Amino acid sequence: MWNNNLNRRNMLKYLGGTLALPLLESTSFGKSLSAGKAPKRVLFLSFSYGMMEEWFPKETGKNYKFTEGMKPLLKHRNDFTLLGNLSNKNVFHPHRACTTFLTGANTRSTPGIEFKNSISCDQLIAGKIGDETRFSSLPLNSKNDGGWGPGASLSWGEGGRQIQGINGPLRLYHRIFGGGSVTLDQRKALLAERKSLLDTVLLDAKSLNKKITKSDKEKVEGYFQSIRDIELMLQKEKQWVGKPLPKTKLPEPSNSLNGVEETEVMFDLIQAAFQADLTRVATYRINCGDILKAIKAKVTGIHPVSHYRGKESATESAKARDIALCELLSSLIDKFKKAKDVDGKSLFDNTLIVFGNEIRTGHVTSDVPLIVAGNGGGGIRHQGHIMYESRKTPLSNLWVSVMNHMGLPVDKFSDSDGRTQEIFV
Amino acid sequence: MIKIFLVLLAFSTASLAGSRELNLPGNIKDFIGNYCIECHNKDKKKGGTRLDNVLFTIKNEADAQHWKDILDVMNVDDMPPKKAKQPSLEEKSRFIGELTEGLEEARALLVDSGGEILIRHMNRREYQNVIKDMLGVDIKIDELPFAPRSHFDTMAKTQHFSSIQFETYNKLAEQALNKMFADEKEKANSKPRLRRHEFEGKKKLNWQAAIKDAEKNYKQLLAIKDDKEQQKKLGLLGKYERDLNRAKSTLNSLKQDMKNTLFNLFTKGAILGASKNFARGIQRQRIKVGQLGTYRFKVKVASTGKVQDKGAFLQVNHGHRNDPEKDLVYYFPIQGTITKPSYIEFSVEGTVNKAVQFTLDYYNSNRKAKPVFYDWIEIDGPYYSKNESAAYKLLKKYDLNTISESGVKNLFSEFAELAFRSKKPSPVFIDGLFRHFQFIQESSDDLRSSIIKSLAVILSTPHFLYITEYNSGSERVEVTDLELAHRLSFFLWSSLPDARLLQLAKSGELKDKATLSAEIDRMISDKKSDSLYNSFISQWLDIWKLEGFDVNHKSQREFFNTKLTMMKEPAEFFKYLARSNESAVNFIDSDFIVADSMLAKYYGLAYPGGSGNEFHKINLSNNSMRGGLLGQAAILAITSRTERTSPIDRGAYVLRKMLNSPPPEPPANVPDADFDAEGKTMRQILEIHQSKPQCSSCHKKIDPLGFAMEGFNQLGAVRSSKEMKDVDTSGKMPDGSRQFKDFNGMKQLLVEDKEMFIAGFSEALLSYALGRGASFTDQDLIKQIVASGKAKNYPVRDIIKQIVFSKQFFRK
Repeated sequence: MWNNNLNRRNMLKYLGGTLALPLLESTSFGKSLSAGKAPKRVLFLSFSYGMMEEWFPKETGKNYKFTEGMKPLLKHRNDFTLLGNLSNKNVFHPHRACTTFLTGANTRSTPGIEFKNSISCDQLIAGKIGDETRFSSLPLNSKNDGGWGPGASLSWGEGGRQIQGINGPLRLYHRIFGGGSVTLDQRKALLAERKSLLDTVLLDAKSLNKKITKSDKEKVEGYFQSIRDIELMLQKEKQWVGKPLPKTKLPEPSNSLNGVEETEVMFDLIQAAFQADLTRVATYRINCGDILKAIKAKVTGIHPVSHYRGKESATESAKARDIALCELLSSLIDKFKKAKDVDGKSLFDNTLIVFGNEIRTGHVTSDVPLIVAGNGGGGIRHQGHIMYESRKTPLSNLWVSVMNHMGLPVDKFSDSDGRTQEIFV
Repeated sequence: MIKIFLVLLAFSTASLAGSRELNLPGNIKDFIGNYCIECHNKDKKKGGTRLDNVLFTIKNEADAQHWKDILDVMNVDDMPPKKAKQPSLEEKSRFIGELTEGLEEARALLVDSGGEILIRHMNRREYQNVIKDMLGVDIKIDELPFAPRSHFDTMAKTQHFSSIQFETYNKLAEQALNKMFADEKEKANSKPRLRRHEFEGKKKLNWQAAIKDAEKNYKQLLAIKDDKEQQKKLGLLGKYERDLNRAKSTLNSLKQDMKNTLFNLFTKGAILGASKNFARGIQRQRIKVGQLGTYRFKVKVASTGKVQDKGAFLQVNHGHRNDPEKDLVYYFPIQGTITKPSYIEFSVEGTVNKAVQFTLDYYNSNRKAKPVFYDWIEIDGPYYSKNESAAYKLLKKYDLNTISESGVKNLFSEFAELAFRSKKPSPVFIDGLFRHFQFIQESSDDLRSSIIKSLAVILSTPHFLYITEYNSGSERVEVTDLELAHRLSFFLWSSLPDARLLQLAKSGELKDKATLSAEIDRMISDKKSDSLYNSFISQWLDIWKLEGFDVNHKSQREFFNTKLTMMKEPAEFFKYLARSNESAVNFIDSDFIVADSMLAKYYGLAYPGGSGNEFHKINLSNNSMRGGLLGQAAILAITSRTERTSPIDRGAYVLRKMLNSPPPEPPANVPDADFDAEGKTMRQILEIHQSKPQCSSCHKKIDPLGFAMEGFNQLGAVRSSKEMKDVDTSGKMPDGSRQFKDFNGMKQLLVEDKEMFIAGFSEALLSYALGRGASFTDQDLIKQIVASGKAKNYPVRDIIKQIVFSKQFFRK
């Protein structure tokens, strides 16, 4: 089994024996936060390729039988719901599991354009509640490419614009804890200098724009947009300039963490970001290829493992992958259950964790694996295993319900034709 | 990826109605009429769907989507319902096949950009090269996001510019500028020196300790042979026998080594044993060198065997063993003997992107080979290039600690013009930059650092980061001489033009056909063109996938050790063909390969000599299967799984790369072939898969091509005749008529179809060069390349030249 092979020494070294201690020394909470009341948070997790067909339980209801692949989640059985048979019907490419997971877009429907995505539901949520926190959302990726399909994170902006995620623990660490200590005045000066820098490069961009074709201008718009994004970040930083970033006991993570260890450290950092209320919305693409390597699976190519049938070594590896993924999810649930939020409840009580992607198994892009865990700050009633009508129920229905839960009064999103109301009270 | 006209004629029954329309073949109409409209008509409208009014011409995305929905329903076997009239398997298969192909072609048409080339920013490689060429410094670019692997990294359409990229470019620019000054200082202050590493000290220690340890270990285990309790206590249950045997063989081989080696003959030096148990501590020698400058190495080494021992190589890694970017690996066969040792010499350039260590390793592909004797390693360096970079020359004119205000403005203008590749910066920008400089300077007392920060701003502008060509009108016009020089250098060198090319552009001579042709010849022979060979081939042929092809380094030691040199083979092959202007048909089949000594050994071929590290042309015997790309180990491995071959992947690869007829993506929601079927061979399993209508149209073309390659295992080695006893490699070409009896027979037929390969190769090169997909607009050019190269059988450099001479390359 994989966990026998796993060398956890580095992990423990990294955590420095602080596992049971709070990850933060001091916190800087979001705006609307008064002591004793915690906000709702949401975390979307996804990964490349699908699960084994054998991973999916057959029975429904609260007492369904756990498959071997799902076993690591057994201890949390009352705290999550498996939503069976949801589908994004417009997935054309049977190897891309994350591209339209949160958008439900038909990427081929725009005349003359080979690929066009649309805004993802996490970004709609961030648009609504993002002003409250230092980071309106945190789109995250594993450090190495995980074969997720096109996109720079699970998150897509207005008009299907790619949003570059933060790749790996080291960069995330620097983003949420800052790099070294600077005084308030230094920070202000730094912000002003950045602003001046942006104004300067824009002068060049504008002079270029006068000399190029219309289509080139559309392409260079990406540059302008990146500058606007930084300006927005700077404005936000300005609002927060008086409030220092949280301090932590966590040492800087090594940049060589991969697979299981990397994912666990990312979970620690997401936990820290939520506890300090730096953000209330996060997305994260997990790297299954690196996980296969980390657990020393016999076959380590994610694609060959996805076509595991008829090959013993690949089947064994696929099984190990499914278990590893569920162990990771289980460890995240453990972490969140132990972590205290500002209202004295656990982070798990206040967070909705969504785990899934757009591929069931092999080339099957319908009836995808989908787990919703956590109590989401109330209003969640877990149901064990719910099965919708196969191939007929849009995944977008779930996103409508999640958005409603997070306070967005939407009735429709992407190709939705209703809601998945069962677990939302 | 679009298909070329020839392919349309060969395989497709769909026809192009107008410039942006596609007519579906008549069979589709018949099928819909026979099996669908009985329910899906104006009156019944079953399931809310009407097909009696469907159009058989695809004009826009909505039409394509409508047909895609129909195809989806057919692919998952939903329609026609069981009760209704059923089509025959053949009818269904034909319908699905033709509709799939029709939709692929329609999509290519609908997204055709009409040949417009979009502005793009430099990709990671180009950025690194340009910084190196302009500033003379090597920087780490790990933090820059990777481009998606699905297209060439030169493609504008798939490029994405994010705030993270901007921040990273800005940071890297400041680092690069600071490093430029630091490097120049280091160059001025450090002098080359000669060091010699001797190994004797380690030898004695390891030798004695190893035998003593092995003896102790074996005795301890032997003592508890019948003591199950003790074995259990030590956690040896179930493993005891194995461990005991291991301990015994370790001890024996050490004693054997002692006898075999010429240990007693030497008073100096060290020996690496063939058994790997011996002298573990000196198996590898790590020697640190700096990141800057060139180091010359000389190693005195000999095989202890009686005659030169063909099994032994000296392996030199530039970088850590586990460094994924470790691409500098050299293999030198050890040809010297004790009485006449080898002196292996090589030089390596320090670079930041690789770790700064060298590992001298001993690799033995022949287990019976004799141990190797090292006497010493000499290192001489660092030596620096005398050339100063353009940026340094410019900055040297100014004293950054005392520079005046007007001097700063001049410096900014000059530096910007250099960075903007001879385009003048707008005065508005220079004024703005000066204000920015003053702003930083207000809160700083370090003039020099304020200037460097400002120069980093120049290297963060679109004029630097994007490959800019001006055209504000609506007409497509010819590129300027300078723009042509840049298109050419980014195509062939992935970097800036050199002084000569710029000079020719500035004097207006570059567009002269003879001059341009001579420049292409010169550039293709220059070392900088390695960028083209490596990057184009790696991306076009998916060679990068070999990186992730992880085999067990113990049981597959020979493959493991040869993998990195396998990765170089396709690019070296291309380099050879381009530099000697030989026929591109060699890509399909050739009577030679291009290999270094390590790879030659893997293929069981004699290496012509030399240090062993260079790639040389090696002629093949008549019946060899190695000729052409398809016989190369890298390609045979990336189209396999690590534990077995995959005829489907290999067949699809042949269709994609050799016949320029990429099969469509596998349809979603159609089950895999039943690989679990018991007692069936792969061929039988796939034959069943082929009989399903959803699968047959593509797999009938794919699978036979893949089975033809079964003579090679997943590691690219030729299978023995015993392994091949019941394996059938015969089959039919995708046109369904021509038969081949084996792999070489298939290659002959592929050579007959060489026009398709040439078209695909030219499209790929065009696409890489222009940073856009080849489209219908390019068909005239592709046809012209295919027609005009025929007489001389398609020399590679001629194809490159035709692309550069084309109106596509000349127009913006």
